[in-house]
Amino acid sequence: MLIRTAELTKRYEVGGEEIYALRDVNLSVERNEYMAITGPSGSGKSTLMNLLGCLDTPTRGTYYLNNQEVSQLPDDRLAEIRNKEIGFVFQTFNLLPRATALHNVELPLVYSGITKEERKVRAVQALQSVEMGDRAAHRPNELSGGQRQRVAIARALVNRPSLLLADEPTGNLDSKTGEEILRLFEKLHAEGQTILVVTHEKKVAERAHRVVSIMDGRVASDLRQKG
Amino acid sequence: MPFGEGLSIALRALWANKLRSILTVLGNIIAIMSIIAVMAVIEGMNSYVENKVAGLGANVFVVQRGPFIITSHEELEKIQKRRRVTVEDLEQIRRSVSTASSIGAYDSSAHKVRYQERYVEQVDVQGQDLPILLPANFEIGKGRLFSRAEIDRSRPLAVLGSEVADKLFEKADPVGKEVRVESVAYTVVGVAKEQGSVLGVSQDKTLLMPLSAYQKQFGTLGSVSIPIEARDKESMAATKDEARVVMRVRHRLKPNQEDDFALESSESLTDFWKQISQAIFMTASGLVALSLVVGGIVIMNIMLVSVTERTREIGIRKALGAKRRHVLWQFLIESIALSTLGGVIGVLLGWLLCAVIRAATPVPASLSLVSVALALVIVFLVGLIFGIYPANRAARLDPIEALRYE
Ligand SMILES: Nc1ncnc2c1ncn2[C@@H]1O[C@H](COP(=O)(O)OP(=O)(O)OP(=O)(O)O)[C@@H](O)[C@H]1O
Ligand SMILES: [Mg+2]
Repeated sequence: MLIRTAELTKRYEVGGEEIYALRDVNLSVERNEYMAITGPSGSGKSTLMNLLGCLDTPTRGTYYLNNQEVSQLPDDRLAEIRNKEIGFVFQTFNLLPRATALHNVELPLVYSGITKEERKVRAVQALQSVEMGDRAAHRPNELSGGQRQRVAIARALVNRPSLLLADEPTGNLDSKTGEEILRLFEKLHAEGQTILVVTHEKKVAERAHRVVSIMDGRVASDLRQKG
Repeated sequence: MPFGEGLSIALRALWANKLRSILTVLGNIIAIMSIIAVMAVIEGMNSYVENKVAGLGANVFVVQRGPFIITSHEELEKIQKRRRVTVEDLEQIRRSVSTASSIGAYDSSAHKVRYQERYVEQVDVQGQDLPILLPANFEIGKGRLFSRAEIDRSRPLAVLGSEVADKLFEKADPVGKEVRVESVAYTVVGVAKEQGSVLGVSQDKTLLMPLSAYQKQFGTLGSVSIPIEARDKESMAATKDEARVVMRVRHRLKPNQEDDFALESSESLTDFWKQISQAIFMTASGLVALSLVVGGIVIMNIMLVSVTERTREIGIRKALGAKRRHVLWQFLIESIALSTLGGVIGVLLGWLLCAVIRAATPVPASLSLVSVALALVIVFLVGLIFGIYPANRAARLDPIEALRYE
């Protein structure tokens, strides 16, 4: 079991009013699952992803990642877990604009204290695995949207994380490029990668083997398709 | 995060905003440039005062009408009304001051010196009564000095300063030739070694003659200076007292009256210089500290802007595993690099300023390694101290909010 949450809850207070972005979510994810999280806007998808990605801590409930309780760890421990266990892919790519593709991919390795030489070798490998090996020296503004997202995926994978978390990874791409990214996910999944995709697009969700839909901060349905 | 990575991020960020970076560190540049220049001038003056002005020699003091350094017009007028120090005073001192090891006298004034059709104007013509010759490092290069007997007989002999010798004789040997001071002829017996210049005034544009010959030509209306050498440092005060008593008796001063003459030693000069240099240093340090604080605040402000501009970058770095201290160091290194950049530019400009001062004024300003090191330590600290607040702010950013920042 890679992920296990119990009564995971996130509550915000805005102007004295309580808002439950997430309420009592119980979710388990096995290794090498390919899962989609869907739901209408404001239902709590991003909130869930932030919690699962250790970017945020829940108001209540527990979260076991790799059998380790991580829901109440201090900032720097969470940073370590994000660095080693989780790869993020964002809708807006979030590459550093001034850095080359290679340097962007090296970043997670910098923070895990890996030597310059090894960093470079592994970053080049990661870029090659997403077919961007020949664009290593390019800066983000010299790349197309699809290419940027590939670089971002290479960066997410370079530290061999247990979990790839993608929030609307195709949201800023045209359908053809989006399709390429989805095919890349399938290939990664076939190689053993656990993938969790947040999307409100039906077409994207359908490609996953399991679809969890969220409504008003609760799990509304949990369906397994195919495999 | 390794230091190299932090530095390369910082340098790239500074390079991306070249103009802004330079403007930000203007305060540092000016502060460091001033500190370098002021320290160079003070140090130059220090060594100058020690080597040249204090060339009196350690155990020598001078009895003369007024002090070496006169700081106001009123003081000058008062001193000019005083009684002259005369050769008779010299003789009395020679008779009465028992603890002195040697006693001399001199007077001087500026005159035109000629050899055939060549001439030099404004030569410092010195009438000297041996054995003491000032400055203490005076040395004969060629020929000889006049003797006691020649002084007593008012022989018209001259020793030329090297500059006067060069101008009048070029490469020829002046010894044995006859030069004219104004219209009176003197036989050259020697040439002094070159002594260089003090505060832009050449020490070699001189002509020495026996004091008696000098007074024969220019009269006895001038006041002479009487250098007295004590046996050693310890007896200096006692010797000074003896000379003072002799002068007071000769001037018939009552016990409640002030001295109407001066007893000057190298300490009078160095004390005076110490006072000035301390005042300069204090004022300069105050101004430098002020501009460093202003410079630091500007750096802090720009770093806060930089943190805000790069909020998203910080969010990305945190999402990828940067810990607080990674982000903290990244921005601290950047602010230290920024501040040090200003310091380095300041050092270079200060160095340039020293060269200009050296070329344009007689002050021997030279850059010292100590002041460069001090300057760099200071800008390092300014960068560190004023970088803490912005860097800490960056380090504490919430990754989710930072990632959402547009
Ligand atoms: N920092 C916050 N403060 C207050 N309320 C918040 C905060 N973040 C999220 N929320 C609220 O929590 C709810 C869930 O938000 P979330 O961003 O998870 O939705 P989402 O499913 O990702 O929507 P979308 O599809 O539009 O991205 C929303 O009602 C939102 O207003
Ligand atoms: Mg969302």
